[in-house]
Amino acid sequence: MKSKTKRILMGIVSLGLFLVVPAWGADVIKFGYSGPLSGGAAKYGKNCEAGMVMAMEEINGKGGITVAGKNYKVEIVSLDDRYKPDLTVQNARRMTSLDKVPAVFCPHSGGILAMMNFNEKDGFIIMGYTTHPKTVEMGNKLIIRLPPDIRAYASAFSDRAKERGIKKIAAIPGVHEYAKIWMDIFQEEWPKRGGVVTDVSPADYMKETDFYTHLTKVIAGKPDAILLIGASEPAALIVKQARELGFQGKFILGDQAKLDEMLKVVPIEKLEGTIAVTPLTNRPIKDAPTFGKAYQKRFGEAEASTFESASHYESVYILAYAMEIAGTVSDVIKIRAAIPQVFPLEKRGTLAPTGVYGLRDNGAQLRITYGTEVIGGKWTEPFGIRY
Amino acid sequence: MVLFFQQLVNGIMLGAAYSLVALGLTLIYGILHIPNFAHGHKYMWAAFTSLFLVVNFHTNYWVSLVIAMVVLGFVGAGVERLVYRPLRNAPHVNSFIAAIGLLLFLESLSLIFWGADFRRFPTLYDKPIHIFGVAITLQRLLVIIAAALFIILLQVFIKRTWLGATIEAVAQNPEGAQLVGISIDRISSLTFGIGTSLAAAAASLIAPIFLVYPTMGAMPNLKAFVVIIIGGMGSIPGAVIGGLMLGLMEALGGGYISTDYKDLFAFGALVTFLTLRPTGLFGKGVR
Amino acid sequence: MSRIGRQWLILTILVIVVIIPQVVTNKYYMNILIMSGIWSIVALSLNLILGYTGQVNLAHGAFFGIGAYASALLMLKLKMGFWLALPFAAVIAGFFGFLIGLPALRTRGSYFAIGTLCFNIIVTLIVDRWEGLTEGARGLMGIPGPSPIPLPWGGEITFNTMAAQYYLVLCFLLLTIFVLRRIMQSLVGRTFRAIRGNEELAEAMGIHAMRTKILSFTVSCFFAGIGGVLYASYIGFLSPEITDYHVSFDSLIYIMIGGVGTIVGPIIGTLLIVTIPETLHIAAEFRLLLYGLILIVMIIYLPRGIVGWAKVLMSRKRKQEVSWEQS
Repeated sequence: MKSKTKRILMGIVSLGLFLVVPAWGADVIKFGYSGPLSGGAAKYGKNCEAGMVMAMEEINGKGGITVAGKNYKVEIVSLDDRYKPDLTVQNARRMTSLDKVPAVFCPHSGGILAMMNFNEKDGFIIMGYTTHPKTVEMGNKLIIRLPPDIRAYASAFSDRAKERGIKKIAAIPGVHEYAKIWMDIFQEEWPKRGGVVTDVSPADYMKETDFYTHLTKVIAGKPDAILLIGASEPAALIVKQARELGFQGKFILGDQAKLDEMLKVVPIEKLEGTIAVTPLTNRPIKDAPTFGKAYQKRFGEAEASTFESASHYESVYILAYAMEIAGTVSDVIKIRAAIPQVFPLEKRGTLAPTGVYGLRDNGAQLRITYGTEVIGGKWTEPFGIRY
Repeated sequence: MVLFFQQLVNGIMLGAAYSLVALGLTLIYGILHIPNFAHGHKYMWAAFTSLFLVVNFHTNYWVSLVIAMVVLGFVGAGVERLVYRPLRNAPHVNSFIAAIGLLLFLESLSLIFWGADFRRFPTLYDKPIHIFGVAITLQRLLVIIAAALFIILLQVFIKRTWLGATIEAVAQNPEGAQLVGISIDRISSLTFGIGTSLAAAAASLIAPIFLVYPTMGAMPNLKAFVVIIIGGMGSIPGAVIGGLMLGLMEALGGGYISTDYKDLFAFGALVTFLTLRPTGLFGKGVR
Repeated sequence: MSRIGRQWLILTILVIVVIIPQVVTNKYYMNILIMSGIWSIVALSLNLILGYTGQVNLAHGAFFGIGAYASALLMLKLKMGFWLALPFAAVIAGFFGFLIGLPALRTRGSYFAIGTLCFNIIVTLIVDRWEGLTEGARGLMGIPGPSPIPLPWGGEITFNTMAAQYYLVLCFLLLTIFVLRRIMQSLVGRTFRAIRGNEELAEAMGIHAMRTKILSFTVSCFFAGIGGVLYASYIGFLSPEITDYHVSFDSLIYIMIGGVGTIVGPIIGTLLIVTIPETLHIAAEFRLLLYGLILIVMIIYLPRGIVGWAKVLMSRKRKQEVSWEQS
């Protein structure tokens, strides 16, 4: 029967489509990236990717890396996972099976935790950009956590707040997981300095735009400062609306909110008294401004380099150097073991714009980070936070 | 006491905003019996249009609002022509599914065109005024005033003009209207256009208070539906009362009970109404 | 196609499907097949409501999520084994379906769609904010996979390999298909179709519309819950977004493209949507744009989906053949 034959033919063709395996050049190392490249978190996802791309281009521009006598160019395989862990898993499987990547970068805890289910079994390193503490507490031997510990910021900001005479803090944290972890840790740290948390009013930074209800409630408790934990633009809106409501106190910003991004939405006068993480380009890390300028040169004047892009940039280099030291591009255990020997990055002629200087056994990266205040309409000198 | 008044004012402003968006929706539903599920996304496109004009061409704010209304009016009519009219005689489900497709399309188009960034709408009216210890910016006051204006205008249009009467005729009895020579097609397009224009007005008024970004339409969309179900699909007074109720519920509930579960009040209210009184407060009947 | 021909076709497909893990060892492709299987179960269960009673249920994601979270919590907090947690979780999902169906099914059409959508949002909100129970946005991790099944003659079936997980999902998919087909073929199924055709008339003839609608809704949620359990065990990690209404939208797309109201339709739709974008490397924003466009075009011109269209073509051809014979 004609239709039956046609159906069988179509079946064979589609099966064939499945089995098409692209042939790759032999002297390329690929690193995988699975992150949100579309949807609400796209900006964040693309930011992280940008850091990786910049590192890749620089490495290749200098001729690539040499591992065990062979020369390799670096390639980044980048796939969108729309912030969904099951798509991260799908992408990771694709990248490890088809592209044979030894490491997968991912900037959200959902994807990272999902991959942790099988990364040791399938033999690839997870380069996770997340502050979720569990990632380094589960004994997974092939995970590297990029960002600094939230506790570093929470304790340093608490110290600074105490110095400034702040006693009562009210909080408007986001509802996303990072914000919750931040809030939990802050609620442990702030009482240690003798302070009091008067109110916690969670708000969805991503979806809400009118924070009057939260602010009215929180301001009624007459706090000396309001803690905001969430993305920059919504945080800036909250600051704006708080001032409209007559709030005269200070603000404390969780490290997700970047002062320089907030200034696009709210003028610096409204941020008087704020304690926040220092914008990357202002940190007294030698390399930060250099990186910032190079980033803008590559991606355009309007783009500000961020901690995320800087961290991903560094980590691509870290992996590449680890491979050189370990003498292998595929034995992930050896590569992981070689990472502590990569530091300091400056010794290798590479920028370390976030100041990363080491790696803990459990996979957490170590770095000095900096906080800043806004006093008299200007940013103050950064103060160091060691963790 | 001041806290209460502050929340009250918040609630009225929220309510005015919701009502304005819901007005267009209820008009479309009342006439065409199509729940225009992509309403919020046209609202989002209106906000971007105004923003684009104001930022790139330095158009006067009010002029850009009018232009956005006109542009989106045409878009609305076009959508009716291309998407909903072919489905007029198909099962109801199909229009809903088409609306979902439209929603995805509009949102992704916006992401591609404008990028995922949150943008600020520059405005001249963000100075706060203080009345009895309650702070409110001029822009917010404008939303309340404008909403009231549009509501009155719409009522006048429907009840007093010939065109409005025609629209009502089509709503009440399509076959009868046809017999008298009224073109259902034209009225449908027109109604859709007007409804979308109203959403465009809402968007341009509200955008300067908040941020503009591609997914901004999803929540107002849902809340607008909550409003018209509470108020009754097809009823203009219903949209107004429903909107106010929703706004107050959110502000007071959020302020006094819990901001965590703030949105729950809105959707819980909807579920309650659906269960107990599906036609809403002023609804004209099921379907 | 003749009955014998059809049976041969089904047999061939079954054989291919069973052999696949032995031939395809690439983990990435296996992953796609497993996920397609899970989403097919979800889509098929939605099809019960949409395809056979004509109502758009947008709360489907919530029940998928409830099944997933229920099984994960049972296994993690109560230390229940997988094989006990699975039916429990599915029953919980079905139970919630029953509870939500009672008020929701009193409405129709757009009201039903919006009402169910709001239910979905409420569920997502609760899962997200009730941290004491669900860990909220922090998510649940370390969800165990299926525990080994001891065999009567010694040894056991383990589920550590992808092939084993594939077969697990396949078994449940076949179970779903079997159960749904039986429902449709039974009196219940014919009642559904009568209701979809004309609810008032059906009532006049003595058919208890409400009871049948609640039954179909509960069963639909039960199977969505099974899909959720399989997902939770396979991915090993859960966060509140899997209860989100986008799951409902996705299932809707799979069904509409594949063919609403058929058994094969949702499966084909799922396979197409899950696999083709992967092979074509389309940028993500364009993907959603295309889905939206395709959905609109299909609902206007091809409301019965690909399978429906194929059936129409086939029956037209048969009519042609018959008329030739007669002439």
